[in-house]
Amino acid sequence: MREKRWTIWMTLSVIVALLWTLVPMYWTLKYAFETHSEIAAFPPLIFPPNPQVAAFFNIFGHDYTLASGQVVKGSGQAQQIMLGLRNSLIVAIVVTIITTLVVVPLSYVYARLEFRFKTALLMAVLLSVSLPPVSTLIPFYSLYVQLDLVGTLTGLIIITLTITIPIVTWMLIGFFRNLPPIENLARIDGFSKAYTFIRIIVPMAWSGILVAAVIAFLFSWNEYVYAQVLVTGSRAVTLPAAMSGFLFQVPNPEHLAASLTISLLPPFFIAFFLQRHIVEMNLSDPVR
Amino acid sequence: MARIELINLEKVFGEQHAVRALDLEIADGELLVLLGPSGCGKSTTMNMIAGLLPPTSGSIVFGDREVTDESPYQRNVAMVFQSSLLYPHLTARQNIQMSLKRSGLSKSDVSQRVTEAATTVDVAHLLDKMPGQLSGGERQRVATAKAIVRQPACFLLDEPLAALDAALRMTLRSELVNLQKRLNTTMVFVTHDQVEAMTMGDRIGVMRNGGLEQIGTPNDIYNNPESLFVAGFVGSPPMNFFAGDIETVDGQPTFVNAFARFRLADAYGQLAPRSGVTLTVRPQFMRIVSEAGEGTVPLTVYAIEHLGNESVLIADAPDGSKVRAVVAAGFEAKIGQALHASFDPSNAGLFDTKTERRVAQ
Ligand SMILES: Nc1ncnc2c1ncn2[C@@H]1O[C@H](COP(=O)(O)OP(=O)(O)OP(=O)(O)O)[C@@H](O)[C@H]1O
Ligand SMILES: [Mg+2]
Repeated sequence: MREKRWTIWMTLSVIVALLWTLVPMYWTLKYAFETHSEIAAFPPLIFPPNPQVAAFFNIFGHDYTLASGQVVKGSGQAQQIMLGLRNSLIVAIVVTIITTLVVVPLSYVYARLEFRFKTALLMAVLLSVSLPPVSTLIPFYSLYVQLDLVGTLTGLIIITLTITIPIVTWMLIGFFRNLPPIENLARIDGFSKAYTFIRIIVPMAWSGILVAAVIAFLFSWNEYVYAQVLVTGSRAVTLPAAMSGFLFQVPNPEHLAASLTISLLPPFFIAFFLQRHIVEMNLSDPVR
Repeated sequence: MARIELINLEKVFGEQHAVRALDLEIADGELLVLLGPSGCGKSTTMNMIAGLLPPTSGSIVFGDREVTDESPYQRNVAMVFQSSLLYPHLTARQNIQMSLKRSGLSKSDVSQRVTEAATTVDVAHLLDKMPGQLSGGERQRVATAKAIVRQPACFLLDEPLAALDAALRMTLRSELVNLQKRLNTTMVFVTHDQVEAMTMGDRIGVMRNGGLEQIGTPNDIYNNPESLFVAGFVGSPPMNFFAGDIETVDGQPTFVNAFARFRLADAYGQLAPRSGVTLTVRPQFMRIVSEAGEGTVPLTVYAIEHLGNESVLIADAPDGSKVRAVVAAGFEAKIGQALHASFDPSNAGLFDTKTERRVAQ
């Protein structure tokens, strides 16, 4: 009897959680496939009556002729969106590569080796994890003005790394701590520390490193606050900053919705292709 | 092949003296078991022999060569770690090959040696499996193959059987002893299981608080423990202890306490009266009698454990301490029943309660 009630509550809360996340996403998706007037209809339509892909053409600057013969004009924001897409990809990939290259050895050293001032340095990492990103924005901005880094991809990459590196380091430290004492085995076999790390630890820790890379990528892909301040309107604009431009224009919800849909694609593909890995990525028990 | 000598070895971790003033000589081809409770410094000692941990002071000699500053690889030791650690991302074959990676042997020599080692421990059919796909016993055998493929100066095994079930441990421990005798390679085996130590060791070194409490053959350790600690740690069921004093009764040294008096064996003929001694008797030497008499202890039955071929009677002495006696399989007694036990004084040991050392005969 009790268990039954428990199951009902669990099902119910899962449904609520699903609706909570999926309904807004569905609404965005629906907008992307509707025309201006369909979006404006009241009461709102649950399904787009004639789904069409005009908005996806428009945001890349192309006009689109509807079945009715009506021509929908390309968006004036198209330049920004295309730049944003390109820049976002560049920033996210560079950030992912640098974060992974730095964080894997760094967190390994923190987790597995003893050295002086280790605790103090660990606290420094924790501190940078706990700082709200906005709090570093003003000092970074004035620094960037002097270094001429405002409105550059380099500047954005550097500031994004200041977030991803500490967070991912903190995550991976726990992962490396839980590896078995494999270094002793390697020393008996006569391997150097460097060989052990590159040829034994890294292959063993593959799943953890993958998680680290995914987190760095997603964080960078979704990053909005820094981009808004540092690169909006410049040639270094990223997708989130470019999309926010729609908010300040003649209201064109289907364009905003279409670009949001595109920005959801990389996370979606990551989740889709790595779903088996993500389920298996057990950070607390790295090797089974 | 090597004789191993530890000279005044010490290891200090911060405030903690993990190993203190350890002197130990292990003969060539000997199987020495290091036995002791958790945290007594067995692994620390082992890691220092392996070269994984630098000693704080003291030296380590292999044969005639001082190796204190050499790396594990230079010492040519093979080690099997707790729960038979293997590289989890490599197959059994690759795991074994890793031991020969730096040997400079040709590919065909390596593969021949790997096959030989795998055949020796009967894992040739498992070579292409990952460690995660192997059972605990198979993993242990693969780890052993990895150890022997090097043809090392000595084998160091740190509780390799700890995570396995009882039946498997029994099989594997006889396999290990058999292998060690066939290869005639020095082996140091760490365990906290006294049965494992007794059944495997040529000699047993009992450790306590970082020091060597006693070292000797299993017979020595069992029959002539030098301290109360060794007496209590080795043997199953565990040793019985009686606290009391020595008095002279009728011109004979006699053990006396509130509820019992035992005349000591003739070997103690000259012993002067003294206070604060502990008398030890193995449960195997306790005899249950129904009548009180000369040299008996009154007991109240607490429990009977049936082992099939015999049973263990557990009873309370009047001072509340537990007394165990091995009795015949058919032995019946009710819980709470009053009984008496006696023993042949020549089977009792006598220790100073304060120093915990054996009282000289
Ligand atoms: N790296 C270390 N740093 C600090 N203290 C340590 C370290 N390694 C061991 N010790 C301490 O040294 C003592 C001996 O440890 P050791 O691992 O040798 O015990 P052990 O006899 O192998 O025990 P077990 O049966 O539990 O494996 C313990 O008290 C332990 O806490
Ligand atoms: Mg240990």
